[in-house]
Amino acid sequence: MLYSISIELADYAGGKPLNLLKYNSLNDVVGKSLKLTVELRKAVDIPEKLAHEVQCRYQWLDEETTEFSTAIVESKSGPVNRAPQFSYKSEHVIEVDDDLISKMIENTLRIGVYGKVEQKRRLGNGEKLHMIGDEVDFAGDVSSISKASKVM
Amino acid sequence: MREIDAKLAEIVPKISEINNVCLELRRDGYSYEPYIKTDVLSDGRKVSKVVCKVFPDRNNRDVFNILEFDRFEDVYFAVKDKYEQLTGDDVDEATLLRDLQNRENDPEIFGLSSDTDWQLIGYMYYFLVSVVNLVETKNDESPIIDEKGVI
Repeated sequence: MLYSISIELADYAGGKPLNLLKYNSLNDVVGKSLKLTVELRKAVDIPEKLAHEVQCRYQWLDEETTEFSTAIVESKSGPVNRAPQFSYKSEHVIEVDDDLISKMIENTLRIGVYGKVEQKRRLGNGEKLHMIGDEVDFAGDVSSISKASKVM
Repeated sequence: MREIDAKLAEIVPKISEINNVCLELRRDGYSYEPYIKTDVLSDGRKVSKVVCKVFPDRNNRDVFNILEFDRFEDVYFAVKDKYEQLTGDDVDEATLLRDLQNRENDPEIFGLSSDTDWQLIGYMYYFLVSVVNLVETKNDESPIIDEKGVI
């Protein structure tokens, strides 16, 4: 996955950016506003079978663990695109405090990459998997399902 | 580990039973298998849980749905109910034939359709300690790691 994470500090949300070089770590800027810009550009080597539609999702660090997601990248026609480009950019503003610093030291930002199988394998409503064998002709033979053969 | 063992001990016989019922109900393409799914959380902890993989076509391993344990229980009882309905004393052959051929509700009853149809390819992990040290990451590349730890 190709990505960028940019950092911007300010005295308050929306305030004038501070010079990052003046600080060693977030411990020096407790109480200030941190703006993280998450950019997800492109995923590579996506398995072909799941590359028909691809989307990335992650949960932010806020208490509600709000979920963010990229746009869905579809391979509409031609060969399947195994390197979908998301061109996703999102800014997250959060106040720096000790809890946030602890959380950041111990955690990762986990970005899930999800895919869908080929459209034709699903029914038209897009919600149900296509079931191979739908055309099976039972030829009226139901005799083998007898009360005696109950498996439960 | 004990919890995994207990869940497996509970789910495996039910999966075996549900596979047999599917054969009886002329759904011999459907296949249920136990599976241990391991999630790596954002703090690095690994959480394993027992789920059931459902294949609408046992010969196509690419298309499957994952049923969480509780959802599998619902499916198990729904399939059992369907079987009992079809093998009741008051069911005539015509009704039985019609019901066997009717697959409209199969995705729901047999748990073949997932809520979204999205399947997890893998996760990319960004270590936030870089942010704590005010280190920006520009145009970097990180691997996408699947559930088995394969890049």
